[in-house]
This record gives sequence, C-alpha cells and structure tokens, in this order.
Amino acid sequence: MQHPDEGTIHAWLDGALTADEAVGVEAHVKQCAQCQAAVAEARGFIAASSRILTALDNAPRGVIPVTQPKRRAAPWVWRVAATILVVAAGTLVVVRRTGVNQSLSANAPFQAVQRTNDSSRNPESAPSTIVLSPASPASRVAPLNQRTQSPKDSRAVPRASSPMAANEAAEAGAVRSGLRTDRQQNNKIAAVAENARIAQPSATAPSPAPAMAPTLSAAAPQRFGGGMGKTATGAASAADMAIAAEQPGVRPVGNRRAIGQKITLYEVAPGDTVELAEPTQLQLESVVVTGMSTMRTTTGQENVPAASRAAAKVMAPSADTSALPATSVAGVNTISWTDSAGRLIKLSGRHTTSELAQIRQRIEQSRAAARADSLKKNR
Amino acid sequence: MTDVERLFRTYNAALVRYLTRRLGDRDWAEEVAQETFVRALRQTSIQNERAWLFAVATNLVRDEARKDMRRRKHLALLAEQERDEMVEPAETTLERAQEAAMARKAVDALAERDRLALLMREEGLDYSEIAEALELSPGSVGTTLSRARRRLVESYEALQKSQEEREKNAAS
Repeated sequence: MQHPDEGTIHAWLDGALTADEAVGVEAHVKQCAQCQAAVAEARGFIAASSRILTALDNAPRGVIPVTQPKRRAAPWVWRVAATILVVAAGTLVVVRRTGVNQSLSANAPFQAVQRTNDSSRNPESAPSTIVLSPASPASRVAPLNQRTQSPKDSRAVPRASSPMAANEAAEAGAVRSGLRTDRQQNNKIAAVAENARIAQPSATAPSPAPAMAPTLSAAAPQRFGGGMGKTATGAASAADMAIAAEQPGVRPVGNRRAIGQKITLYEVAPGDTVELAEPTQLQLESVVVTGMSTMRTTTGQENVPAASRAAAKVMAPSADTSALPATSVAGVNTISWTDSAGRLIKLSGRHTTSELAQIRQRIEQSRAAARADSLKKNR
Repeated sequence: MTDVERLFRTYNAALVRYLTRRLGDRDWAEEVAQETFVRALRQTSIQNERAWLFAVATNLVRDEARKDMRRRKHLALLAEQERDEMVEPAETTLERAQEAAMARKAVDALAERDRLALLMREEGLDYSEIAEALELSPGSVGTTLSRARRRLVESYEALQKSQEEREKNAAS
C-alpha cells in the first residue's frame, strides 16, 4: 500500500474511514516508520488544536447589545434631560414671577400640617443640621402617592385632594425613584426626562393665566425649583445660589451628590451646618435650592413617611459632616409640611421643632429672595 | 419540526460552543444558536439534525457577517468597552487572556472552510455531517481537517514564539 496522505491519516484517527480502509492504513502504518511519524504528528495536531480551541471558550459575554441599546442611549438622554431642565428652570422663573410668592404664604396651612413634635413654625434661633429634600418634578407619578403615604405615615402630607395631592404624589414618585440604584436610574432616565417634559407644560400653563390656578402655578414652580436646583446650567440657578449665599444664616457652604439626590450643605450659623438633600431624578451638575420644599435631617427617619424615608436612605451616606451625626440619632426633631407645590417637606435637626420651623422660614425667605433676584436678572 | 425542545437540549451546548469559538462572543453565539432553533421550528422535517443545525448556524453567521460589517465593528467596539470595564484578577487571567487572544488569532488565520470544519469536528460532528453542513465531498473532509489542524497549531506556535521573544526583549 502507498503511504496514506495526511488527510487519510486524520480520517483514520478520527475513525472516519470504512473498516476496509482502516485495516489497510493500520497495516501499512505498522510497518512504515515514516507513516508512524506522520501518525504521531497527526495525533499531536489533533490534540493541540483541540486544546487551542478550548482556549476560545472563555469568550466574553455582553458583546451583543441585546439589552444594551438603552445604555447606549444614556448620553443622549442626558443631554435631552439637561435641556428640559434648563427650559423648565426658565419656565419656573417666569411662573414664579406670576405670584408664586403670595401663594407660598397662602399655603401656609398646608405647610404647617406636618409637624413632628411641635407645630410652631415661627422663626426662632436654631442653627444646626437640616436636610432639605424637595422632590423632583414628576407630576405623572401621582398614583404612587397614595401608595407611598401609607397609613402608618402618621405625619404624612395632608391628604388634600386637589393639585396638591397630585404634587405630593409627584414627590413621592420622585423620592421613590431616588431610591433606585444608579444603574436602574440610568435606565430610567428616559422616563424621567419624559416626566419632566410632562411636568413642564403644567408649569408653563399658569403663567398666561396666573389667577386661574394659583395652587397649581405655585406648585409648578416649586416643583421646578427642585428640578432647577439640579440644573447646573440654569442661569437662574446660579443666581439663586449666589443670592442664597448672601442670606445670613443660610449660606450654602458646599454640596455633593449622592445617588438620587443632590445635597447642599448650609451653614445656618458659624460652624453649624445643615444638610439640604434634594432628591433628584436627573443628577445634573450643580444644585440650587430654588423651589426646594422638603427639609429634614438624615436622622429621625423612623418618623418620616415612607417616601421620605426612602429618600433618607439614599442620602444616608451623605451624613459626612461633623454636624450631622448620622441617621437615627435621638434628639433630632423633624417637622414636615407640604409646600405650595404640594410637596412633602421635611426638616429635621438637633433643634426644637420651633427652631426648625424658624430655619425653614429662613430658608424659604432666602429662596424667595433668590428667586426674586433671578427674576430680575432674567427679565 | 415539533421536537425543538429535544433538539435544543441535545445540541444547544455544542452549537453555542461552536459558535462561540467561531464568533468570539458567547452572547452573540447564543443569539445565533437561538435563531438556528427558531429556524428549525419552521422545518417540517430535518434529515440529519446535527448537520442541519450546524449548517444553518454557520450560514446565519456568514450572512450576518456579510450583511452587517458595521454592526460587527460596533460590536467589537462594545466588546472592547466591556473588556475595559471588566475587573480581572490579574496574572492568571492575563495568561489565559493571552492564550485566548493567540488562539483567536490562530483560528482567525484559518480559511473559513477549514475553520468551520475543525470547529464542527470538535463538537463531535462526523465526517459525513461536516460534509453535509459545509457542502463538501465526504472524501475531502479528512484533508480539510488535517490542513486546518496543522495550520492552526503552526500559527499558534508561531504566535507563541513571537510572544516569548517579545517578553525576552522586554526583560533584557
């Protein structure tokens, strides 16, 4: 028999030859040193190629963008969201001008509703740690509100029907979403942007006819105050920030971001800081606390309604200031109320409730001033 | 084809491995494998199941590759990003990664037909199945495989050698 060719040797080793062919090759190989060497080499190739191919099995996953598109869309969504917020901020400024301030005070009853220990909200002296967490705009999330405000939330926002409730709902939704993980949040950005877009018209609506719905008009700007706070680009925001800085007693001394929120550090008195946490759905750069409505410390969460507790959880890691002795410390009081925008606001700190009420007023005043100023600038 | 579940159970692992080796990405491989089984669903009858499945999967890969070079580029980009994001326990992984990269290169250097025949053979397809899937004459499968194996091993060894030289140069 002739020397079998390499292909035949491989076929033989692979058991692919017919019985007759196999017998022939075998007989030849037995007596042919050259072919024995070829067979040995072929065995080596077979084994080696198997081994090499095995190395391919550690192929990475995730190259195929099965669920990836969303992620890839993120940068784009960011841009859109930023744009929306900027527009919203501008709108807010306009709306604010149409009598928000007055509705702010008009809504005092609402604001007063939620008190932790004490219902006095008269200004007194009370510098200390406060976390202010206004909700982001998300009027669409209204139904969530009902869920979030479970019965056990004794101090939950007033259950007024009306736009207020809707806004609370918005806040609740916002806060809830603030709880989400970073990634989830990223994925939700489109939805958030959508919310913002939806919320925006409601903010604009009042401005042509402010008298029609004072509550709403107040609510919208308030909500956008929150949103605006997150807009780094908002000129008004920057102005607000500057103005707020000038306010005695509530001076922003720093800020940082945590998942789902923006935290601004306020110095209410020398060495006495307060944390202002604004749940954000869109974490954009700098935050200005324009229409912020929720104030509270990271402490005393157990007394806080579910929605805010959620927010508090998110911002728990933020308790890094010396003035903030982390969450759940006794001696921390919390007051809560609903602002004119219907957002549930919580303010807590190591103060008496009346002190807290006073701080709240200071903050509101400084914001009102900032708003007024930015309006001037914008006109 | 009503018995897709059985088909899937029987062949999915091998098919995915084959495709992974062919494509270099498991998710992609799984996607193609799934599509292959979906196609099998539409068949009223399949004579040689394994050969059919591998042939269809191979064609899917080929068609996709032909149709969509841009997507592949994009995927490669994504894969790169993904790799960047991966946190790897340094050394052993590095070694393995080097091996895998060389294996990839060596496999990619093969002619498509040689490569596919080899990968199919590795999944246990016999010569007639390979011939059917790749539309080869049964008699040429041995030659195809022997050539594929030799070239694969030779180019892998060449890569290894140049790698070693690089390391030597770097060390000195």
